[in-house]
Amino acid sequence: MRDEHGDTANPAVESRNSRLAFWFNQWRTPIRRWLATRSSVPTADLDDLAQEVFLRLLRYSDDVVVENPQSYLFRIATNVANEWRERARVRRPHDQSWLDDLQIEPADEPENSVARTLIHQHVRAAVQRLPQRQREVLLLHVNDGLTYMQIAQRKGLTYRVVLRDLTRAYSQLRSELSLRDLGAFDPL
Amino acid sequence: MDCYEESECRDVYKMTLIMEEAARWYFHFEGGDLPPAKRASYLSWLKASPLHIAEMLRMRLFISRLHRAAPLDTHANQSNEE
Repeated sequence: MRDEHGDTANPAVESRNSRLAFWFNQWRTPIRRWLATRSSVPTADLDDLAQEVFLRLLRYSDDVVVENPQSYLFRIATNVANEWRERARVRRPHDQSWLDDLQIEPADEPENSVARTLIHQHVRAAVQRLPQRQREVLLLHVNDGLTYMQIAQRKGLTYRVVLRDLTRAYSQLRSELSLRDLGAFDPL
Repeated sequence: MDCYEESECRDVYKMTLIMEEAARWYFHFEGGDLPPAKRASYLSWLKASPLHIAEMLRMRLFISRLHRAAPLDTHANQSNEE
């Protein structure tokens, strides 16, 4: 990916990037403080990684990326995560499990069964607190891997309602559970 | 959600909005068949801020962990109907 780094000769790109960097720096302190309470992924690292991904994404032509923005985003993140993991392996071999999870196909790591039980208790309790229909839709999606259309047919809902329920269920879980609850730092 | 100073509350509010937008885009996209105009809006949203990217990456971590914790309790269906 060296070619992506070499792209600073263009003054327009450079000035745009430095404005963005300035803006980002203004925001990061309060937001980092808030995020620090929300997740056990080292916030500084994830912010830095996100900024690197952001800058790389800006360098791609929209015509290419627009076909599949989400896949491009995660592919770039995977590349950056791989590069970082190489570096982390040397510097801090113990805290790289979150980098592994950004992989498009996360590696299956063995899990400690006590930790797993705890994770399940937290997740289960949070899932129980969801409104009934949101919970059912989420379970059909996560447990049974049904498509939105299949869920819609099974529950007699519209596609739009399924989409909204999933989004709401996720937002709710996301604000209740930290990544730690989901085992971001399982002992390997 | 706890916040004590006005500026802090604004940040929390802003982050909550970003979180919801990220979730909406993520699931929209996962559903497949986004029309070209929607895909373009999604890309503009991603390119609008590194905070959006950061939230999308958290989302991915979260979903990946959620899937790993599956099956998420199935007897929740029987035990807690109201």
